[in-house]
Amino acid sequence: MSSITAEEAKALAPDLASLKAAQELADICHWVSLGANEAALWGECKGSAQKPYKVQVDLSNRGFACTCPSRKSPCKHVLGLMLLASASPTILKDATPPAWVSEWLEKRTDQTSDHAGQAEPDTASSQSRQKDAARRAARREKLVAAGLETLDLWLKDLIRQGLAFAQSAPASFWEQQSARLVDAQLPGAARMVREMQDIPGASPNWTEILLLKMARLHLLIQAYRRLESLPEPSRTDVRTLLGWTINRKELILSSPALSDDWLVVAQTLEEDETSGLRTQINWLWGKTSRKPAQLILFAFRTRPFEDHLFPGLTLRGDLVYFPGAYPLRAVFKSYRGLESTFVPAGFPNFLAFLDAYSTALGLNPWLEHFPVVLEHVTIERLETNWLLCDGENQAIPISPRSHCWELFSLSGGHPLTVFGLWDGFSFFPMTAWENERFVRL
Amino acid sequence: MTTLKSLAQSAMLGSTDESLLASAIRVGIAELGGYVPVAFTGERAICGTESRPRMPERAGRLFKRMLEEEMDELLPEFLQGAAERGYIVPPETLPALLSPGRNAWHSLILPVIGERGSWLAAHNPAWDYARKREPLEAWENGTRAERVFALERIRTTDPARGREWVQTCWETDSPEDRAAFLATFAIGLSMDDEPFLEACLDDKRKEVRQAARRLLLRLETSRFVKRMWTRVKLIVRVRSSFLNKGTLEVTLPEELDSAAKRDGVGELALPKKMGEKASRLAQLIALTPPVLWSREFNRSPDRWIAMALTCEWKEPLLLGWQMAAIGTADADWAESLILLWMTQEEAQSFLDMNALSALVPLLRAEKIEGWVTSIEPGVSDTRSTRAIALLEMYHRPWTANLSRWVVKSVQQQSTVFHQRLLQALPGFARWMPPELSDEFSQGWEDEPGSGWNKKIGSFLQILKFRNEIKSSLEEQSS
Repeated sequence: MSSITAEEAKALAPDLASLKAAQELADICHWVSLGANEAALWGECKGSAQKPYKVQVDLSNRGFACTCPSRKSPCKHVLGLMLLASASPTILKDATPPAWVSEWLEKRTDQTSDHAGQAEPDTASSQSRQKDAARRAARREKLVAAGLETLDLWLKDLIRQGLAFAQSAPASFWEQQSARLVDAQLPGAARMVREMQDIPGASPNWTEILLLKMARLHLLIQAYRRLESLPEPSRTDVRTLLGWTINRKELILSSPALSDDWLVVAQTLEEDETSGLRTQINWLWGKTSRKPAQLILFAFRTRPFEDHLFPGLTLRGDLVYFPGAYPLRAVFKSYRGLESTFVPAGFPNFLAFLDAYSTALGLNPWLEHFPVVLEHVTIERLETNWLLCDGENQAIPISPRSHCWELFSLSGGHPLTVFGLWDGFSFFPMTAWENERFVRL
Repeated sequence: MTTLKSLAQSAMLGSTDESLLASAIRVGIAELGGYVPVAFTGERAICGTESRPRMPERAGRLFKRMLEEEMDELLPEFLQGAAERGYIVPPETLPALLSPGRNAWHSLILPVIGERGSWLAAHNPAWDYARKREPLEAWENGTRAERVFALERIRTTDPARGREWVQTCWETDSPEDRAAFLATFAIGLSMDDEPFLEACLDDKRKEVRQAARRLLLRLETSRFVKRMWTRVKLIVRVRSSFLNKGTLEVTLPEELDSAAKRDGVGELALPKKMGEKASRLAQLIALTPPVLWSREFNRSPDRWIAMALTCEWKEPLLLGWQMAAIGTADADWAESLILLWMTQEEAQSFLDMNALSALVPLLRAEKIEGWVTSIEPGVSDTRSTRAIALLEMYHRPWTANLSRWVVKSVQQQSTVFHQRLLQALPGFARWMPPELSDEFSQGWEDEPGSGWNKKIGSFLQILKFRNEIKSSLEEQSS
């Protein structure tokens, strides 16, 4: 017997209203009778009619039936029964099915075996597979639309309550919303909500940073709602940000590659404690193209990553960028390691760099981290603030959360080349070069 | 004008403006895209050139790993090795190295930070100790810890100047400060310090007198030692005959004269309670360099201890010698007293067991090697059990033979102690010669893997890492 999980039930819900109604029905007080065995779940649910509705779920293939007049499929009663079964499996077990259940099951078994006996099973299954895929896609679009609906409400609520609330909000405030987005198959949006949690109080201008993050999410919702009217690259950006994945194999086959020597200039690692998923983000820099690229690898728990990349490693290879208005994420078509290394060429001054950033932001307003190599910069201290200064005495702030002292010590007051991320507010240095020497910060 | 900041302010306590987020994205993206850097007008700090070479690159990488993984127990060895070769550390490691958690190691850290380290320290008050400033300036303006540190530094190069510093402000410094400053005289101590220390015996404060006495005890030709020796020679005498090897006769005076009191007899705290006379005897012995007993009477410490054991005053005699051996870092006496502890069950009651760990580091590595390697298989008497216990307390470099004996004993389970030694193995890895790491990787019954004992694994890991450190520092500096 395969038991039903809450996630499965949620994924089956035709809309959010059904799911909400079903969650209320997932309480034994609404049920006249309840039962289950290895093959099925069943129950009689008190409804608006005189007689309770007879609800049943076939566990072998997730077929369901209900005597209620609802046009929704599955109806809230079926979903309610599934949620109830998933939440308290012990209440529902090893019962003998009443006649109305066993008859229904018998009928279904006949139908299925008849179907299996039909000719041309290959075409049939491929057709049904295609149909399944289309149904799944449609279901996902529905889930996503509903998920974004709740996110929109949540954002508006937060504005109504005030940003001050964010500072005192319990962790569950962010986590619950993030979990809801995961359930709605929106991992990208879920990540953005999770990241918001660390913003309040982290810097003097945190309200601005938080507001901008919220505004970006809001823009994402708006963009999704008029997805069809967007130009193709932005459409991809929106879908990728929300959490649709791009098939890497297809991408490699279908897109042009960029040949260059690529230096792994920085690497970060995140681990999700509950799922055990480890995400390794590699920042690459092209020697001739002078372009950045982001290479993301995944692995579970102690499993090794598919490619062994580390900061300071140089690779010669063909890189394929994921589509988007300002392509950054990429994947290797092929590569080999090189013995030699190089110091990447970057922007000669801050005005040139900020100009490039402005262009990139115009193309992709969701660009949160702009990777940049800056040449000939010094690290200066003004009271307790750290500044990065170019050759023309122009200064930008360095993130206080970075390794400022290490960078300052490395420089000794002399100019050097650095790689880091610019988020529009401050620069986060990750790597520096002391002459030819690569120094991870 | 609407800015992201003004929008954030209006949203701070809640807003019903439905279009606030839409405005925020418009304004926010425009602001970010139009970011303008500010002109820097502050002062610039530039570090001067280094006079000493950076350590080899591999050593620098290992060092960074040690800091990141907080392998602090291996750091002193590394820092010392680097300092001996005149190397300085990579500059990006300085903030972690200078961090306040490593207070006890200032003297190890300073030689390896170079110009960059002092330059950096001048920017952060928490690293003030590493600032390049004249020791005199630190001495005149610093806190007590800084003054002690400055004094320690000057005592290593110019002890007389250090003494002059202390004398100059002797009258105005607090007694606690004076005692702390005197303690630094252990560095570069010589007879030049003797007149000042002798004068300190008349100080009003007990802690100052005690600090002076501890130093004078280590100056064999000091007036203090001469007086003590004259005193004890009258009290402890050897009566020898042809029939026995000699017995000790102790005659204690009823009253202490004022000269003895000035020298500290009666003021020295003992770790054990004793009768008044016994206590006086123990103090007299403890305030006399033990080397005089063996030298002046041409009798080994072992002989003296044997005679003491048959004497009714054995307890104060042995306790006094133990204290004196620790006070003067006398290896011969330490070895004989440890041997007594190893061979005599009742020695526990004569010696100060709490101070045993102060006696053990005085032992010569060869001595421990001799004691331990002569343990026979299957024997677990007091002597061998205690010899093994010494290993666990001996936090100094071991000889190759001793290391080999211990590893073989675990590998071949050749002594009854192999389990105990196995448990202690990771701790031993710090003291064995690191170049033996390859040799010690061989000869284990299990292969590394599931059945592999964790203790052996971490033992080899530490030893191999130390070997890496050593060889990396021996590479040519780039």
